[in-house]
Amino acid sequence: MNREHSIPIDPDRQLVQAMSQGDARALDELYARHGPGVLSFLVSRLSDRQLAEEVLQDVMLAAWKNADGFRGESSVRTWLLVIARNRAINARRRYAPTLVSVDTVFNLQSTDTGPFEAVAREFDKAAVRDAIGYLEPDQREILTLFFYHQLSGPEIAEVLEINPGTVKSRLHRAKEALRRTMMLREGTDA
Amino acid sequence: MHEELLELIPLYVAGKLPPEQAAKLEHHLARSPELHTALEEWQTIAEAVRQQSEEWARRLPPLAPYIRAEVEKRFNGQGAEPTMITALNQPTRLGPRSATQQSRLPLSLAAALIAVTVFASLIVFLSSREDSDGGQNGDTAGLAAQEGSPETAIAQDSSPTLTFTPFVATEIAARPTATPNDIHSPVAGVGNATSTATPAFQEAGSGSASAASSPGLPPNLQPTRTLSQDDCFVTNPQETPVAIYRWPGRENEVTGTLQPGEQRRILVTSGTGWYEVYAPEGGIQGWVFIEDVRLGGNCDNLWLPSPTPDVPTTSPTTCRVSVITGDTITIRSGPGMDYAEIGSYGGQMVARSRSANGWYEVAFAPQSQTLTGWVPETWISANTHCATLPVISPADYTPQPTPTRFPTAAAVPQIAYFTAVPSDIQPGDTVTVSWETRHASRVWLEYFGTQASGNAGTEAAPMPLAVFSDLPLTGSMDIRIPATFRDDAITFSLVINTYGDGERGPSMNRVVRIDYPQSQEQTPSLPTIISFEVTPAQTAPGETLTATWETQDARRVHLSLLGETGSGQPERREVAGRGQSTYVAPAGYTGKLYFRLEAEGEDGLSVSRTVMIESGNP
Repeated sequence: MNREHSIPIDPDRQLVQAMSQGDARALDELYARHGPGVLSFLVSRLSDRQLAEEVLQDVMLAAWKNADGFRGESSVRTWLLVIARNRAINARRRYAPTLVSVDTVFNLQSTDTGPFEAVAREFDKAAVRDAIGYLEPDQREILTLFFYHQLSGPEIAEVLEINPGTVKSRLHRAKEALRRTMMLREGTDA
Repeated sequence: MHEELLELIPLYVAGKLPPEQAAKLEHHLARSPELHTALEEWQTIAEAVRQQSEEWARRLPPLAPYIRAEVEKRFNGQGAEPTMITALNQPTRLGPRSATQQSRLPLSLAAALIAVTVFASLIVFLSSREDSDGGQNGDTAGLAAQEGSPETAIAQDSSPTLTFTPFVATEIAARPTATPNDIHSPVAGVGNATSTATPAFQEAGSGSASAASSPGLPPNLQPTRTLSQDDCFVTNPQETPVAIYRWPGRENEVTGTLQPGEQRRILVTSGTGWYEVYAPEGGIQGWVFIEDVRLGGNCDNLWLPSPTPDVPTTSPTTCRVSVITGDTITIRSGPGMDYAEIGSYGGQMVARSRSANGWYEVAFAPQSQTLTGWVPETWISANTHCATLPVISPADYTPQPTPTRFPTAAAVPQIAYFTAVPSDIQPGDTVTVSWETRHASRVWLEYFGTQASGNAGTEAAPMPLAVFSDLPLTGSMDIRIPATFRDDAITFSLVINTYGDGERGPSMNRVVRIDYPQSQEQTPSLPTIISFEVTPAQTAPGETLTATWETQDARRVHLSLLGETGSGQPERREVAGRGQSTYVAPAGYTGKLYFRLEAEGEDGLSVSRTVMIESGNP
């Protein structure tokens, strides 16, 4: 049973509906529109471009197969991101871990700068971009969902499978993690 | 009020605030430099995230051929031609890669990774505590790679625009939610030849839920109830009785026996492979050793009384071998196909010598007894220490007159125990990690920094700080946490696999919390137990015991008491963060009393400490 929504007709939804009826061009169109976004999300989660591209294909196949299950209660982007996130987590489980980079272990050890002894640092974009790469995937993902994919709080809660109330605190913790990462990185830059 | 406004800022930056709230925020922004700074920071973050994400979104590959095939299946019935968007000139990928293929890495990075594995092992096996400061990895780059090191293929399409290239090394999986039931499989569930008819999860002997409550004893000292699925228990899988000792050690007196197929519930572990068991009619009977029994149920929350005894360390030069194909291999009584078969086995084996015609002499333990035999090199993967094994000529080998056959039971790989102590440290301290596994072919340990208690995470996939990939089935190691460590906790993860390289099997995590000497603003403080004492350590029924404790940064503190005849819920009550409480040792009852203090902080982080008191005859 579908809930009533007062949402303007969404061209994305029409695409998914066409897909559910076997329209391959709709799949291509959906891929062109949302593929880059989903790919970006997968790269941010997996930190591995090649794996992300492969998982992206899995996501599109799943979207194709489950197009008739999409009931339009969330946006198409949210629906795809939910699929993508689950696939990404499963992909991580399947592959054996390889070793971590030397940089992580030894950079942390090469400085004795405390987190709060760092001088006030210009919160500049380059530093933030650098630090984003060093966040944990959970923290990176909430930032990208919020500022890049432009999901709303409830949509983010749906993708992450958390309470809507937790979204705000996650966001702020991600910022704190960024700050700490930046201080660490500052201490280790030559 | 201020907090609320700060919380609105990211929403405002993302354009998600409704107009009235946006106007209200703007009103305050104009008046508060602090809010304004936060606004600028969030704007920088938003811009950086957008830019980074847009880069990651570039160069979309074309849809893979296997998707085309799937789509055409639907189409062939309808006759219309699918059109393809050929987005970019990219090499076509042929579908998902196999599970055994490992990540590719740039050559220089792979060399560095090999170096860090070897170096990490050196840190452990040289037991000097020198600071592992950055510069020493260069020398070790020349050492041979260990088994399991990544392929050194050149990476494809290494994009120079990815700013986190150092982290291309794959992260480990989302923290595995392998339930302990996967790891400690109860006897009845496994097709094991030695299991007897005792159904799983039911206590051998009597013990109904609350039936026979002994009058006069406090509620927590009631007789044993029926085992539930969440209880941790041991089963005797052998055909002979197993001894139960008074203390964890075979030199102690035997206080009882566990008959074949019998089960006992446990709540307390020594951390060295000994488990304290309850008698069926109630009461602690004594300790059994893990090698004599099999664990079952949910054993993740066992109490670990302090102090925990020392654990032996492992030899660093063992040649460990395992079966490449991930199945079992036939073991023979001598180095050659014309020797008798004595059975098949798939777990990890230790090789003692090699023969000139290509066989390893191995020692292995399909059950609790160590056996020896020979396996051909062809199907075996070996670590670097195997190169220095003594080589014998097959002509010199004299086999045993009657080789011992062993039954090929379904060997379920399991982690018998895994501990990381102490559970609260400061940066610069050392953590001792101990483990015992059965029937695994590879054991490895990884650890990674986390921000919250390991219990809280459901989806995290953090980056490991180090991986030790060639571990024995049983062993321990000391790991020193660098003084500059910054995360709130470390999660140690022991993983075993049952197949050839690549597939992760069951794993178990232990979380060690890091206490920082300075208090930190704006981050959730970790609760700490500054002190917890119960005196006197030896008491008698009717005598007074005094529990004294002091905690810090705890939102709630609980004190629990569990007694010897106890098995039901420990008596648990909420207490102040700091205080003292008196107890009277129960009359008409002698034995152990366990006191446990739990301090819970924000975000559900908690630490606990357990003290044991003996109540003896006056």
